Amino acid sequence: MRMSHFVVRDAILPTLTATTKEGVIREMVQNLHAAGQFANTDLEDIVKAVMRRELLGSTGIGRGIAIPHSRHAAVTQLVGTMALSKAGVPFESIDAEPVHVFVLLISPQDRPGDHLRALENVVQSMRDDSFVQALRGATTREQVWEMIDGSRPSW
Amino acid sequence: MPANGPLRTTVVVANPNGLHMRPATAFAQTARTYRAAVTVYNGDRRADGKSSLDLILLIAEPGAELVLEVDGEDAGTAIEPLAALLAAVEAQ
Repeated sequence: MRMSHFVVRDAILPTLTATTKEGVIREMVQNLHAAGQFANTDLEDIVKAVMRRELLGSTGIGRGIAIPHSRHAAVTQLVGTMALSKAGVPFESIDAEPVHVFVLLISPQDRPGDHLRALENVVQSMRDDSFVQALRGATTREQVWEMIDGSRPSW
Repeated sequence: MPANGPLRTTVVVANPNGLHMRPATAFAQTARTYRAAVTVYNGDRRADGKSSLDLILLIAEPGAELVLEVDGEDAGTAIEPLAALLAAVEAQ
């Protein structure tokens, strides 16, 4: 599995405008909606579900990376998007550092294996410091896509 | 009673969502309270039990049979609570 198998190309955000945790999540969910992944009527509920998950413990895994996520009935397959913030956003990460690279995952209710494999894929990819640095330097959707489509294939 | 060599037990993941980020984080937090080295195996995959990110790399699906290995002076105290956490069904 590659990140490009579940990251929706048209929803990638190379330059986030949001400066808060909820703002980032909303901007990313809105972009998934705009890319046709679910109906407008589900948008607000998905934002709330992802925020509820954050209340149980931040998904900021350190080193400037966060993986906000939730299950939701609005999707029938796992979908994700990626967003970058040059300035960084406070996210209550385990190392208390601001987050620059976000991967948001929305999973169907009944496919835990897909969620676990996507999570593994993101964590594995983000262990590579040079990959993370290159991502952080990307300024266009195409640059981000090329990097995640070329990231190492399945382990 | 000090343990001699590593203690091992097999644990089946009962969580219907598998060992995802939240239970992995909870397990690693508890594992870090012991001095013993904690290692979790899922087939060929091996994780440092004190690292939540390492545990995510196990891809431990519901029903997976994991091997928990605890090695150190407090291994005898650590193994049961850690096995229970690994097997736990989280509150929904």
